[in-house]
Amino acid sequence: MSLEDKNIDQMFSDAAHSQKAPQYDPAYWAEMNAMLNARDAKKRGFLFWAFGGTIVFAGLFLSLFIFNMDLSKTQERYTQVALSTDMQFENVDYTKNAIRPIQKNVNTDEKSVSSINKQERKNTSTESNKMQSNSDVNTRKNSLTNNKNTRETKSDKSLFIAQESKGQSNSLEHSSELDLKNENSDDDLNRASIQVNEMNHNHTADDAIQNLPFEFVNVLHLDEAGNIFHSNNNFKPRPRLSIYAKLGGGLMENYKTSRPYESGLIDLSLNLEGNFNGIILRTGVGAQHTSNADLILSKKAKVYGFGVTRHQRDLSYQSLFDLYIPLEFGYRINATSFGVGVQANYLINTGMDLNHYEDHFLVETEKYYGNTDGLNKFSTQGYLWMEHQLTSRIALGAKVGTNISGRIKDDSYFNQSSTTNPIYGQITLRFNILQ
Amino acid sequence: MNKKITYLLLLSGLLTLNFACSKKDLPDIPYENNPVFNVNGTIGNETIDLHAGENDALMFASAEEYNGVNRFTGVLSNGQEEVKMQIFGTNVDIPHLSDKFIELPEYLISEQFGTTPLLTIEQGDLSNASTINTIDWSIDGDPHGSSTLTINEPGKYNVCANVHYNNGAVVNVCNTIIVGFKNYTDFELEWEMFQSDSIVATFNSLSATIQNVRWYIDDVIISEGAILYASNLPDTFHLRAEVHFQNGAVAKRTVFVNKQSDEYSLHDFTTAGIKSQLTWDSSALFTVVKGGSTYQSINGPTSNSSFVVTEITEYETNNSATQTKLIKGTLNVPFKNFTSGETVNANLNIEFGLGY
Repeated sequence: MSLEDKNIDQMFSDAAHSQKAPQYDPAYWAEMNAMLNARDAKKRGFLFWAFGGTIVFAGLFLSLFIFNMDLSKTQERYTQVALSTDMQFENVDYTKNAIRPIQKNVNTDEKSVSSINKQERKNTSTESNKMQSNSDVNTRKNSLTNNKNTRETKSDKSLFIAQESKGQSNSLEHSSELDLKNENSDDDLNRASIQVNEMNHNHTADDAIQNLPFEFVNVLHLDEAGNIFHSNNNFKPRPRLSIYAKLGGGLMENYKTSRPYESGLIDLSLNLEGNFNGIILRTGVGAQHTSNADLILSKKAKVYGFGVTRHQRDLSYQSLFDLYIPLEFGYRINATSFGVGVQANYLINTGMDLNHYEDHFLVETEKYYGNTDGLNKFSTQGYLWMEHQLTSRIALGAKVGTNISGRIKDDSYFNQSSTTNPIYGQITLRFNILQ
Repeated sequence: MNKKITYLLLLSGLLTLNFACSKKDLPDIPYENNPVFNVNGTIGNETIDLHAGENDALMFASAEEYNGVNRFTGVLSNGQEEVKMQIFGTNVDIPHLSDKFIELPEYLISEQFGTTPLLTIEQGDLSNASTINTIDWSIDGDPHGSSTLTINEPGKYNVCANVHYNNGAVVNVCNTIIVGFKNYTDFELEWEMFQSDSIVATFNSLSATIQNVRWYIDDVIISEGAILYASNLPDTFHLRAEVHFQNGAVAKRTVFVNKQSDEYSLHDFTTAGIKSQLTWDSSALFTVVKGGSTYQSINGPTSNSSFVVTEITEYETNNSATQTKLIKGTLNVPFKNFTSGETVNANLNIEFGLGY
């Protein structure tokens, strides 16, 4: 039947005159106000999660740069400045007990001798003795400075030793001989020179370094103010990869009622994690099961006959089974790691109650499995996660997230749910399979 | 350990995929449509606009029997306005056709009835009226209350005559009388006694070809054939002929025979009296309630007023399990306003359901 305009007018007119006009009741406004407030609260909740999540994400992201800034470049720059201003530096101490960093002051003529003596005394004396010997050496260095004419030569040699680094045995030996020739009147200095000489006769500097027990000391030493040390040992460990399985379980807002704790969410996944010096990148594949979802989609039909029958067919999805691929970024501090993640879901199975209403009376209900009518096959979730390593294999964590792109397809079905992007929370248990 | 975990994950994945493949399709929800049964147009100055399913309007379809004849009826009403359509049956004396809805390109508007007698049988119309004191007529078991049988409405009636003779005898004879419809089995049962104890009976004014006749005397079958010859008869008896026509019609006719005296017999009274020639076979009657007035369609001055059919289709059975025809057409006929007595013209588009 084609409804002409005048018929529609008549229908409205008849309907308007056949019904009593509703009377205003203050309770209506109160009810409407409550509904509006409820919607505002929902919006505020969404904004809270959206902005909060963004801020947390930004903070985590910035922290990755802050904590992982490569300071060696800055140190190198400062070192260049130091060299240009005739400041000398020594690298990291290669010896544990025998050899310590040697600092040489090119502004003093006695540097080579005093440095060698200091080194010698450190190796052979107690701490108090070392302090005393150093002071003695310094005192005698001053006297030597006044008496010797070969100061320039020694100074050159000493500088040469310093610049040729600690492995130049010939230079070291030669400088020691010079010291002996020129400074044999000083007993302490003489003794120190003899000791150095003995050491040099027995082992070259290379031999000493290579044969002595040592370990890397990955610490920069700053012996005196104004001197800047620089490590040549940029220790860059290779990224650590691990394969792990993760089991998660938790609660989710119910689609129909929007109430928390009414729906369940469990998932099991197999993941690969890369730890790049504290920065964590993860991916994998998993399966996720949502239970008691009450995701209701409806289709309605007004069917005329002898009268009119209002058919309503509710697809009440109770269970949703997805395969998903997660992608997580995070940071690890000690045994705790945290970060953000997204996951792409592919819906592969559902469980549904099909309810058929006629004129608002339930006339038929039936269970169906595997149908995805009205749902998107693909959907995405976003979440924040945190984990704490309990043992080498097991970690306990938590996850809070929500849907990013909704499950509900905008087609012929009406969404009867209170929420389309429910918030969920999970406790996760991780088991490291391969490390 | 690791292999086991991997194996279990793969197995569960395969099972899930297999589970996902076994599904059955959802049933389709009924298609939305526009109202099926509608009446819109004007009657006099009033506008009629009724749609089943809108504004509480509903379509009721039924096949009702009125005076022994089917009448295919539909009522579209919202409680305040109502349009009623009735189509009278036909072939009322042919059992296998009497309940059938006959589809026609147009249905004549029925004549009004109720005030003019369609059949009148007076005592004087009977051949032996002089020996009859009174006749108590009954129609379909209801006493008529008069010695003169008067029927004002078309129908198929079981009429009984309880005749009181002046010799004190009382005779009761019942026959089927069809009024206002074509009677394909119209005939008169004639009989005559000869040699005091023999009877010959046959039919007069046959309107159809006889296939078979069964003769009964006091409900006992005694013969078959178009003509009855019988003897050794009781003094009085009821003679009944059950006639089967080739067109499928079946008619029964009963007379009372007093072989001693014909004046105290009762001949076939179905052919007596005055019978109207008006017929209501497959005619249509429309009744409209609008604005507190009741209108009824009347056959116009030219007697050619009709409901012109554009389409007749089979529709669903309703809640009463009555099959329904969806009949569409236009009606441009006069209506009589029973409230004011005036006649108005109606112009209606009709899509109606008729039960059958």
